[in-house]
Amino acid sequence: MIPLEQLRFAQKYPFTKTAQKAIKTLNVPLNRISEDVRERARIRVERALLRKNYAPRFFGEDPELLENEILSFPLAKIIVSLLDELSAMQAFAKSVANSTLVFLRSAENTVEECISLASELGLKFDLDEEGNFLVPLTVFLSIPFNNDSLKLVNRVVENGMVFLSTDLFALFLSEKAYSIVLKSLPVKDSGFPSWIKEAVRVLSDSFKKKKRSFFKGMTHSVKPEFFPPCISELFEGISSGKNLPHIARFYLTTFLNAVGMPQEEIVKLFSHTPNYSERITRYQVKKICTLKGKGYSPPTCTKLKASGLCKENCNVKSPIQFYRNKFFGSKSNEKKSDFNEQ
Amino acid sequence: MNSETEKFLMQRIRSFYASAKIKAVPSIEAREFGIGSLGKKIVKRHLSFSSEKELNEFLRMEAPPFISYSNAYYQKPSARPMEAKGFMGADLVYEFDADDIPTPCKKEHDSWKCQSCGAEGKGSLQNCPECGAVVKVKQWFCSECLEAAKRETLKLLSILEKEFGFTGLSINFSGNAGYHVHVRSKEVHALPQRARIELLDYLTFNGFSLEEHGFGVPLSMGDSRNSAVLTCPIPSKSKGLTARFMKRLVSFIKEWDTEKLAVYGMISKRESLFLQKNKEKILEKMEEGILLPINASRPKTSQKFWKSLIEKALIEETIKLNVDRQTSVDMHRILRMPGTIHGSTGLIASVVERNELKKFNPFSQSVVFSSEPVKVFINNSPEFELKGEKFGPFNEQQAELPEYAAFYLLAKGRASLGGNGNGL
Repeated sequence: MIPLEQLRFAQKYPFTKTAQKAIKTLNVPLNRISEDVRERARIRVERALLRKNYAPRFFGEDPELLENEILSFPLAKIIVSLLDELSAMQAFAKSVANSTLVFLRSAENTVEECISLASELGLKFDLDEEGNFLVPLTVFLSIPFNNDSLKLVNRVVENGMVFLSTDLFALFLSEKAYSIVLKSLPVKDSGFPSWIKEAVRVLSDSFKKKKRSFFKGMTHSVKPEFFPPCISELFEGISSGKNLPHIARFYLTTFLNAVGMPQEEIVKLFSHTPNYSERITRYQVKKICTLKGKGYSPPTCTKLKASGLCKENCNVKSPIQFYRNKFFGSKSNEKKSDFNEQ
Repeated sequence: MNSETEKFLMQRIRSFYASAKIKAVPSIEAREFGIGSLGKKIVKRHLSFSSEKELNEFLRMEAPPFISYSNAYYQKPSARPMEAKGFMGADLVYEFDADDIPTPCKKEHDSWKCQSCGAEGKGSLQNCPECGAVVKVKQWFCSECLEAAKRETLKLLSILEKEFGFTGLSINFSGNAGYHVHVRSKEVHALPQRARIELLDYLTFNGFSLEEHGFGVPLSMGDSRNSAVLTCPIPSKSKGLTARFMKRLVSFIKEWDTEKLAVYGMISKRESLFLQKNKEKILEKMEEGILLPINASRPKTSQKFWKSLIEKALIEETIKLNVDRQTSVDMHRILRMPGTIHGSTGLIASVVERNELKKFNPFSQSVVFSSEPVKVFINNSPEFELKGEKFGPFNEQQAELPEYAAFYLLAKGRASLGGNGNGL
């Protein structure tokens, strides 16, 4: 028998050691998982893929319901893994992060709840007299968070400690949950039963319908008029023979490759530069465009900002997104196509 | 550069390394090295040394005008391509370059020439004022430029120590235009690039939000309606960056005279006078978390005043670190090996102790060559000082200089050996 307290903790924070221990104790082999658990797992994944909240609180004191919920998590992870899509795994991790935040904030005593989760995750922290959580700077920075409230420049940092209010500490923990879950995916396939694969097929179909595969088999010619300001400047610069720094050339090449410009055309573009050497350009363009078959990823806005190449705030996350929005915007205007992201 | 000049410079570098003992950087066996030739800082990369002895032997044999090492640690530093090296982590590096810092002396010693229309002038600029083309700038670094770079370095060090709590800091002169700060403590090695960007954003106030730091809503929303009363974080209770920022804001009120307040606060002389008379009260109110309206009947003016002052405080405190962004976030960079020669100046990239940085003078303490007289032909050079002695200005003339000054001009391409500058 697992104490109720532990069951409830494991249900709320299924990525913790307590949850793993509970699953081990319950000891249910994959082929004997109940219909209920399967259904919970399916709902978990579906909610995540639809970017909808999943933080059920109606299990109360019923151990069986709690157990089902706990068991449904590893199963959901298997389903997500079998979808074999990074964006699906990210959506799933995000969904766990969201529910973590909901549970922490709605706890009877959020401070205590945060302390027990942080301790369980082995995170170093301290509490000061004013009730702030103090997190060592390098621990704080080890988590790749996306939330602007957690930006270091807007937090108090002293003596190597980042000061966080309880609310922000909860947010920080939820970001930690995201990275733990994402790291644990995909689950290695050790011969999953066929009923899982069937569930995956159903989910996968609906998921793929939502997802638009942008560049697959694209035959359009590249449209510089859709380039974002940063890329436009580099593109015009290189076309007019300007001597761009290495990093700018690299980013431009990765971008052009990603939007489908043939390597030959990219090489030709560089022929205007003052220090042009066809041999070296050809070699480097080839290297950049063929890494692991598809080439280096084009830069995100964060990276462009970091190298001082960002020109204005376009409200996108990457130049590719900007280009894609413009491209499909114009396409749907022309042909009333059904590409209508968001 | 003619061959005689090149021969002379190479001989001097060789003689330096023949007797010098260069101290290895920590974990030398895990670093990648690169060397350069006269005029090109990196011509060969992917070198590695197993020990200090091996490095010194190499320097004696090869005597490269430039040698750089990686901030990263690798399992196999000489392996190629980069992925095969086995990345294990990287130091944090901040680089200050005087050419990034706009100092007034640039008007004196820098000059530009437009390659496209032929226009030229003094100072440093990017585009030709006549035709708009990108111009070629001839840079020079004087002690004023390097003092500016040093001031920024000191500001950075204070934040790294007091706020970030970093230990294991090592500082060195770059050998030419600035300073490098290396954070080598183990805890930073594993920081991913994202984390390095976060640190840099903190240092340069990138993404800074007034609301997050406790400033009142109307102000930070940029909304000029409503009341003239704005709120601020309490200076004495603030911590970290907020405290630093508030201290600056308080100092404006405390120290500035009527005129300065009127100019920077964009208010009338009359309003500024009111302010001057009520300084004590304004400071008291700030301690209560209130930015007192300087003109109760005109909330807009009041808000404009505080906004302007806050912006000014941001500019001052934004600790315009002028950190070279690329270096700070790049984990696979190689940079000047401390203690070695900079081939464009003949100065040493001296390691500087933290408590000696304030009085460190690279133009005397980083000079290594002798005072033996050398005859050179100088095309042109502004006045400069080395080892406490002033030289120049020179223009199209022959001169006899001590070896260290001759090397300095020759390496910078401002002078040549063997007759005049046309190689006759």
